[in-house]
Amino acid sequence: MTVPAKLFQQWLTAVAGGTSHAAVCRAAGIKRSTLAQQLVRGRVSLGTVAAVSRSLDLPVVQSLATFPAFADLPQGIKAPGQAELLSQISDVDLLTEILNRNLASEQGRSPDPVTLTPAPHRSSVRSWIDAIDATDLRQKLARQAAIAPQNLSAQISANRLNPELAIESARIGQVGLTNGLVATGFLTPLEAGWDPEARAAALRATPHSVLASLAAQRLEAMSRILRRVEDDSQDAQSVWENLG
Amino acid sequence: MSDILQWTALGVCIACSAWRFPAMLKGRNRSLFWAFVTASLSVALSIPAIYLPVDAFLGGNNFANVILRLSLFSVFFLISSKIAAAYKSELALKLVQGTLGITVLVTCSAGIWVTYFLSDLRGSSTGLGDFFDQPSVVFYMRFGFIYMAYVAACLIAPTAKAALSKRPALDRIAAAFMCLGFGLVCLTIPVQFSPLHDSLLMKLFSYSAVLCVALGLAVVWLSFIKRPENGHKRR
Repeated sequence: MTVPAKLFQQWLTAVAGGTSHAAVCRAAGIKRSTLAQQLVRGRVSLGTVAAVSRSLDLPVVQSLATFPAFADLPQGIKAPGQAELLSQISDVDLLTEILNRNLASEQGRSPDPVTLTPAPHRSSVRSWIDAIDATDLRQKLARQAAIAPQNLSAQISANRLNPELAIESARIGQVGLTNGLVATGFLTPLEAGWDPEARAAALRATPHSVLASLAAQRLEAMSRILRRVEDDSQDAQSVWENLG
Repeated sequence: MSDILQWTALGVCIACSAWRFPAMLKGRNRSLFWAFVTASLSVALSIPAIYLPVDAFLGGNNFANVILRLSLFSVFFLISSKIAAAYKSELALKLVQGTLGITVLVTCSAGIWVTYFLSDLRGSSTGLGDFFDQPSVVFYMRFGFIYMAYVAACLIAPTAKAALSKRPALDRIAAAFMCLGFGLVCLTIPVQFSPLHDSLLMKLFSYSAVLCVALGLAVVWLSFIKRPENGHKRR
């Protein structure tokens, strides 16, 4: 999740020359105190590297690759598979596509193309992991990253996954190393080396039946989340009703 | 030390009563207001500066202590059903409001009356400290604590469960305070039945328990004030 402060300073000098930290922070939209604190602690977050990199119009993946831990990132870029692409399409877009196709087939015309909302969507992390999961990816990931399984599932439930875990997941799933970073929103699809039209193309190429069963899975997951939210709010209501 | 604790507990109980007053007028959970008024009365009657004049007015036979015991019972009866319902514990609700709970309440109340009349309690003494050489007074005190500990024991599990759940932080803090308070009430029992029953430890547990439960409820009211939607109105 972090790079050594010393290496970060070296990289900053190389790419930004003598620009002051204040100017770098202003351009990158990060608080000066945040950067100062990260430098004092000796660990700079990947988010900072990405923000500075974007402000200097440098490719984020290349910038990350200057740090030894992420040196293999550019070579690891692989075009996302069909399942990965579909996983990064929001539930609403998926359902809209199904409705459009049904409507179009009833009226005997070709369906209107859906304008996809930009990635990531509300359950993009879980969908992506489900899409690349061969067998027990979660267990392997927890073991290799030395993170408690419940902490991992808490991150996934909150639609978060730190960049290191996202890259590690991609390694385990043997997919493009930057693909998980798209699912977490750390990189835009373009920055990760995806073709901008890839998601739309994947959606168009998916047969009705596959789309329908995918939508069923998504709705199932959604209903589980909604049920939990409703239970939680009922518990809170009960306390307020009786003691408030 | 125990003086500070007692006056603090009294202040907190009166403050909570005042806080509940507007809600009482609006008809929201009226029993909580009355529980805190009664709790204020109970705590006040355990402070010598208040107990002695009140008991003198009542005839100097320590009848004020009976009022104190019975008002404590009513406090526990009132808030226990509310808390059990709030944390959706059918079992706790049944144990407190059901036949068993009522039986314990009636037995302890009867025990209080019987042992009171069996004892020779002439001359006001706060907490009956001057009469502990009489066995009936020792039993009087035990009856006083058994019902409270019974109710508190029923409420430990539901509040602990809520404190350890995935509820929002404020709700969990509230439940944890209540759980701690009820735990302290339960701890008074081994102390009460030991030679230490006359010691500072008893006061320490009792008044810390009052503070914890009051604090827990205050946190619930905070979270109620901060709740995301106000009925059907916009936030």
